[in-house]
Amino acid sequence: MSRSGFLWLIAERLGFLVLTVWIVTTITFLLFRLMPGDPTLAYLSPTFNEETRRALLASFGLDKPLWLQYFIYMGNLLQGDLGTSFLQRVPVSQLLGDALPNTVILTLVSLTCAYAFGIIVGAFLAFHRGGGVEAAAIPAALATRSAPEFWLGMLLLAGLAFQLGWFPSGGAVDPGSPLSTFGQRVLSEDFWHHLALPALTLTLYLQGLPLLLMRATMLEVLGDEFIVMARMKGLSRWSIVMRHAARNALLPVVTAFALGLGASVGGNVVVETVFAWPGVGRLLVQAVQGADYPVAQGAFILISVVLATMNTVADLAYAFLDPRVSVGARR
Amino acid sequence: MRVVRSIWRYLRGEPFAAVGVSVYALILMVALFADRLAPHNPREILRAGRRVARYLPMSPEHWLGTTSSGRDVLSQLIFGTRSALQVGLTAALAVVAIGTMLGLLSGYLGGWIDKLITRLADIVLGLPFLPFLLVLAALTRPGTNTVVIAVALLLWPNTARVIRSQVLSLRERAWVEAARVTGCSTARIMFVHILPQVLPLAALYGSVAIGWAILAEASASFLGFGDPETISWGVMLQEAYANQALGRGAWNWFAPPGLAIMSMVLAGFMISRGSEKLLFPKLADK
Amino acid sequence: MSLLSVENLQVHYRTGAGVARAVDGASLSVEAGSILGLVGESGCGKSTMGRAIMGVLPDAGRIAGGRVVFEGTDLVALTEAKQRELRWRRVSFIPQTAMNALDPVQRLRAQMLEVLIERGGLARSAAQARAEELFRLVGLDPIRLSDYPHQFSGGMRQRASIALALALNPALVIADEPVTALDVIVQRQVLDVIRELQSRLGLAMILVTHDMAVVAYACDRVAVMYAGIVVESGSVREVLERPLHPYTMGLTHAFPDVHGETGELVPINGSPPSLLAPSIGCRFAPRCPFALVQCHKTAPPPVITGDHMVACWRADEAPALRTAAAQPATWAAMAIP
Repeated sequence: MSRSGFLWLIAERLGFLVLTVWIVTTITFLLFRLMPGDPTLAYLSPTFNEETRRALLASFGLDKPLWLQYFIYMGNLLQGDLGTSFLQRVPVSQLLGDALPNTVILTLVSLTCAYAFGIIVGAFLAFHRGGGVEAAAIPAALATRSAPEFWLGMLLLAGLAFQLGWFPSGGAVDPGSPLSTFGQRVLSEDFWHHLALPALTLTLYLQGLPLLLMRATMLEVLGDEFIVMARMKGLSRWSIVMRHAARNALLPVVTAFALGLGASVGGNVVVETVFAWPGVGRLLVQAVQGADYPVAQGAFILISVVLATMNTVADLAYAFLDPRVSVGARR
Repeated sequence: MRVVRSIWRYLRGEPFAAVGVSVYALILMVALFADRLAPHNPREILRAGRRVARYLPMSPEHWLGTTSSGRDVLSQLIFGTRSALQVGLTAALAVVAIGTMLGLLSGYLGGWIDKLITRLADIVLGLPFLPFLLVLAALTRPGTNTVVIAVALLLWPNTARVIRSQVLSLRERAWVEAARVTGCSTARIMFVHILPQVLPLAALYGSVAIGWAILAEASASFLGFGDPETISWGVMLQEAYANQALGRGAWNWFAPPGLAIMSMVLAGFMISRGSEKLLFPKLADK
Repeated sequence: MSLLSVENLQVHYRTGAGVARAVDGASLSVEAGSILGLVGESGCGKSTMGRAIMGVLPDAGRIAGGRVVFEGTDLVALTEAKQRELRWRRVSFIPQTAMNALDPVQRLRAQMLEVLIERGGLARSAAQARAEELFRLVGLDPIRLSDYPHQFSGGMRQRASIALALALNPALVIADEPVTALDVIVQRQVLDVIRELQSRLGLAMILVTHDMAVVAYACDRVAVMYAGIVVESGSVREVLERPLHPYTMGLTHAFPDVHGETGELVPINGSPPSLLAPSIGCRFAPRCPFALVQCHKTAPPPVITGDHMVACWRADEAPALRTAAAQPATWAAMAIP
């Protein structure tokens, strides 16, 4: 592949991203409007009288034909207008804007911890094959991946928050905290104190994948001829491990990180609920429970777009980091 | 008899898979004999004297204590195997059926069908699983069916991809070519000649899907979108969380259902890990 | 005294089925400034021998006995740290397939500089100049130092590997099947580069190959390996013209020469024996068309005449055996055991 081939690859992936986002938003539109039963019941309280209901339908544009609704919906989306919350009477985009930073911080912190831990332990296991450590570590890594993440959260909550009292049991800041802006909150010790438990839960849940992946790719790379050659060259163990083995083994792990970032933003739903962490996932759950349909739709679209974007980033990151893809042959 | 012996030999050679199979077998037995194994009716509100027997700790009478509404935890745990198996097996079957079918069509027919299915798979993999499940649960009647449908709709691409690549290599084999030359119909080649070859691989992906479905059901129940009428591990955890079991330190209530889910999902992972060596001997050398 | 002499070397591999004796009492020597061809079928232990001399074996392998005396020092007796000091500075290696032998995610420049700076102690600018010089030496444009391995053709990768091997002016270079993966024309070119540099720099080399034609084309001396031991050795001219061991006779008939002339090729039937439980007799006896009862019972000791070594009970009858070995029917008769 040549240099321009790589640019083509980027263009193609971005094109596919746009296509995916379009399809996902369309699916969302259909999902929310074509479900069996009267779609309006999903978010209109039956206690409304007929007149209020009509007025509401009209205010949401639901009295128009479906195709027209679709164009209005798409037009609004393109302008970043996701409608107004039914319960809270504020723009959905504002609610999402408040929640997204919390989710991103939670995800970034736990994913970074999980990958740092997984990469180091995975590499260590690859070097020390056989024996008790491996026999214990691999089932342990598999086990944490198998446990429901909300249950891990419940165990930590019961142990560390309720029994030992080391951490608060939920929320992002103490109730009645004077800190109002997001910036102020993030810089406060209180915020990080609240972040610790949900982040620890997610870290526990997420570390299994990078650990097993790192171990597997490291084992593969260590068997490669260029590692044997590095030993023959008399290079130091440090050079062999860091410059050759780790750098090659990290390629798939970096990709998995980007994928994990996208998947976590949506997957945090349960952990955010357990710890009452005010993120996008919890917003979605509350909206669905309260039949706040514009918020549910907006949160779902946001989560899907983040996921699709990170999938694309992962694809491109791999291509960019691997010269076999990004730098073409000369002939 | 030979089959039994070869399965036995395989399990002895693959301790991981052997553990996984034993866990599944154990859970199957518990589910079958739940009526006799459970010391109480899982829905029965137990009484101590005239009062409801709430939050009892572990004791010889109630091995795992009781819930906030005075129900026996162990009995609920035992009956939970039924719902777990039901959700897990139906969802896995659906995933395998859809995935295998689409993988087979895509790999064997190629052309625009292949392109379409591959693109579809890419898009489906771009949908967030739990949020999708939530939205689906919100818009239909909550319950286990929704979980099964969501798992089937979103998890088939993994199976389809693997089956597709397997079919791509199978279709070039001499005996498939021979069948083509002798005038076998396309459908016959696909379903009579190729399908049986890819079934073991499909079953492997099915064993992981069982675990995914159980986790999905637990998460959905925990978030309040399960079927409150069924007794499942997810519903147990939701009840425990909602009724302050954590604050009371009622480990006997909220720890066991999670352990049960974990061991069942882990069993699926272990079976698939063990079988990888059987199905892809080359991988085992690594 | 020879530059390198390997004495009675034993290399064992732990395998699932038991201990495999990949090298089982092999001896050879290399003189300064000459090329030794180490030849044999795949699985006879020749590549393992090369790696054992470098002191870099896979995790499952270990040197179980014997000596590797290089410039008067027994490498086997040295500590790992001392061995590492010598590696690449005194003895370097040209690998079998340059594709995986070069790190796929690093430019050639980085891989050259790594060796020149970390092992050669050169300053960055000096190393830069030396890398360019080495590339010119092997017939590569220094501008290609900025490329990744996958941007090279097979022949160019092998040239780059040669450049790497020569980086620190070693006394001995071990080349493990350096041209096997290449097509015939490129094989010639790479062999020419190797031979020319070897004589210009006065290098000693061990050229491991399965191809008698490569030996005939490039080597001064040859050692023939079978099932972990050296069964015949001597000067290339002597061994190829008057082979004393039936295995060597078979090998010389089994390959076309490097010029592409193909006479009638006669394969040796069967494959080398399992290394897990070597037989007590001559290891080639089961495949040898001339084996006697004695051959199956006791291993023949090495006999040296002049500088021609052979381990065969019927070495005295070699001229007659050679005539018979030239007939395809002789080998064909061994097809059915």
